[in-house]
Amino acid sequence: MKGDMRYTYPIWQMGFILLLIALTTIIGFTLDYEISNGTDSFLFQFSLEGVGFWCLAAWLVLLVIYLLIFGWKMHHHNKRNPSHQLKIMTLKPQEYMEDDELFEEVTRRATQKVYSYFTVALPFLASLFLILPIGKFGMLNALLLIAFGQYFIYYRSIRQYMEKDAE
Amino acid sequence: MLNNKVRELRARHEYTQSDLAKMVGVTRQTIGFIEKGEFSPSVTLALKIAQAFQCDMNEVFWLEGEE
Repeated sequence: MKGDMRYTYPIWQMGFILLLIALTTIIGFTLDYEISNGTDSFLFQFSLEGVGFWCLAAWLVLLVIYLLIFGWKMHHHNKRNPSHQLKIMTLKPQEYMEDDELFEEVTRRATQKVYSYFTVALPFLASLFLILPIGKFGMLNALLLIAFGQYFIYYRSIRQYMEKDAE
Repeated sequence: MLNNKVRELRARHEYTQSDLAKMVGVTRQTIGFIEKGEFSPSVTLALKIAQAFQCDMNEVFWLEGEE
């Protein structure tokens, strides 16, 4: 499995999700927040000047570094594995490994775990949104965290097999 | 549970895992997992493996307690 990026693809996805969480957090803080107790109110403002600007600039630098390394790794993978190349423009998840019966089974078990996770996580999250006063950026970050969990579960399931193979 | 003697037969025929994998059209990892008993192959694959060793499928694979 050495050099097969399909195995590590969920890690790259998790990295990208963390970058998106950072972006939504930065943008979220650039908005005006008004906190009120009925009689008094307090306005909290964070604009894209000063700290906000530098946070966004640092984020853009991180994004460019991420994309450069990701692109290089993907190119390297496609060169080494012409039979199962990774393609950006496809609807099928890149991390699916269905080379033969074993990998079909490994992929099936991993996706089964992810499916079970979503059947619990999504209703739980919807209930939380209903009960708690979470803003739209909080909701967005919560959804991104759920997606992060999906890739984490998938990667952990696949890794169990890959570690056994390495034994 | 499905038991097998793929490793034993492979050693007798002097096949590597990769050799057998190529003969039956699967990855080397699949042969490794079958040998360890951690993956039960389909009937088609079990037959292909038996054919590669030129023997009956029952001589390669059997259910636990049926040896």
